[in-house]
Amino acid sequence: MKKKFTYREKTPIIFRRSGKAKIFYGFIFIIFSVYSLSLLAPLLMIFFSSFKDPLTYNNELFAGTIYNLPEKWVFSNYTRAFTLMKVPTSTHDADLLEMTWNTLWSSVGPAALATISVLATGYVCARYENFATKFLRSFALVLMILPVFGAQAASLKLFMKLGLYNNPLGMFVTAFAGFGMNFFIVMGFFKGISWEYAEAVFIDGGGHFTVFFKVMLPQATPMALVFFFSDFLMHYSSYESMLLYMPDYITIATGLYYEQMLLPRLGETPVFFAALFMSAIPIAIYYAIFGKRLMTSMNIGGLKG
Amino acid sequence: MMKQNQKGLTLKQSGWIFCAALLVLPCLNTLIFTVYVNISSLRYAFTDDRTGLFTWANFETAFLSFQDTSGGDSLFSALGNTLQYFLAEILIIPISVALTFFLFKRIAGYNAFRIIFFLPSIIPGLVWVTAYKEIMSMNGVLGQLMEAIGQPMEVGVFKNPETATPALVAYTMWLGLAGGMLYYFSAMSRIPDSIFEAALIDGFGPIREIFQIVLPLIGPTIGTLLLLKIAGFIGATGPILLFTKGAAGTQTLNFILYYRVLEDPTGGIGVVSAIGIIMTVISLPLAFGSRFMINKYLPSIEY
Repeated sequence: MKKKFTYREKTPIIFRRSGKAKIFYGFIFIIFSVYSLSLLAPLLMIFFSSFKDPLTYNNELFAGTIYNLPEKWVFSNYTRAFTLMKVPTSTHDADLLEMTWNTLWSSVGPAALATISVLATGYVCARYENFATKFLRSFALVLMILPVFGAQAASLKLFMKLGLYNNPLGMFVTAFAGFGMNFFIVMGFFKGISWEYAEAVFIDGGGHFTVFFKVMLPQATPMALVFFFSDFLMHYSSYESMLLYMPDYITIATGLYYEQMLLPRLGETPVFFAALFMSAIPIAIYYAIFGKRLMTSMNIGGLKG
Repeated sequence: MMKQNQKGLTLKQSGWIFCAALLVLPCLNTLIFTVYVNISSLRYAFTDDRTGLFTWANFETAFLSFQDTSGGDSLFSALGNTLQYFLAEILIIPISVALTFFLFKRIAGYNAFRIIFFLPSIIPGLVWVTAYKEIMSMNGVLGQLMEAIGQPMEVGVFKNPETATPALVAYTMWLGLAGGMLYYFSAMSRIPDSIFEAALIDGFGPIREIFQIVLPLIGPTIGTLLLLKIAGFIGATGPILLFTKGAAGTQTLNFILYYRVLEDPTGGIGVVSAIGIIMTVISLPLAFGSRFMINKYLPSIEY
């Protein structure tokens, strides 16, 4: 006979609630549900509208009935997004395939480089005590706290001088920065790893590079993946810096930025919605796989210095 | 005698080489693209764009615009908008902490809620902007609601200077309620179970748990995020480029700095740099003052 567990037996102690607390949590549940609905409803509206005939959608827009389900599901909006989404640059028209390619290298490359550089600087500053690392720790803290504004003009001028303006190399070069909030997270992580591992490697004849690449880095892999994916997300959705520094390299984000003005004016709003949703699919898949790890891996307490 | 490796280097010497190898590129990068850029920005602020000579004119232009209370496109107006965004960011913090707490305590449906609340961070911003524009349009939910109560909208929300910025601020709050959730959740996960067990035995309800257990223990995390927000308060902004491109008096200081460079990449560098310097000078005392206060009232706790 299958054993029936009581509430006390099946619920870990920290998640148990008294009767009054359950009523309170029930009230909070209602608030959460309302907020969730406010987030999901507009997304669903756009999703369903992406399957509407453009003419039907425009009629519904003026009638105020765009929240209706499509009467006739038009799947060709998704294929038409590939033909209609074209953004002119100084040399040619960029289509959705080119935008996807630009998005891939401009997201993956800088995210990988930024992750590698912060692991390197964080490890050295955590485990090696000398005047350089002491200075860098303080310098990184000042950099993070010191508010600096208005440097975009100077930065753009420098990019132009160095030939990095409108050049993919610019993105990769600037990605290898190594400081910022992640620097402190990495430092805290490596400080928590016993140095006895390294001493064992030294005794066996290995050097510092062996310790870093074969002992320390593998232990930091989960954290590195979180950094990589966070940076990837940021670059994937970024349009402001691409517009400023790489105007001829149209990504999905910048392409949609231009098309949000163009396609609705042509009466092709459902096609624009289709393009919007297609841009969100890769991110949704990635979060479905790695979301739980992201939630538990970020700790920034005690960075105030 | 110090042990030497095959290349004749001691461990200490090879350690220096290792440090140098790993630090040289990031340090060079920071030196060029952060330190040099900011020094250049300071230089441009005191330089006439046409003649290249020393001048105070850029600062004079910036100060005049800060004092201009007439137009919606002035720096004074932008400063007001910036403060609205900043206040919204501060207001979001306690809401975000509470939201994360109930998810951490596994409220019914917490897995689904966690995914939904994190959607604003993963789905590209333009999707949300488009959805919000549709809701707030004259034919959208807001328009129909206003018509139902006998107050039909004559001008779109984002075209009316009186409603544009509040609508944008409301947008940032709507999507930002779960901001910082990653950090708060991770900090709460580090709290030992024994503390919650003791609280349960002592009859703590959820309110006491939040205020007397969770808040003190995740204080350093909140303090760090608060410090960063206060230090950067004058740079607070929203997705203005996507909504209005700065029209209808929606500009913030940060937006002005960005948009002027976007529109004219090679001109007006002096004034933009001067505005940036003024913003930095205003923020500096607040940044260090808030750091002092937060260190004093939210000390780090070891557990």
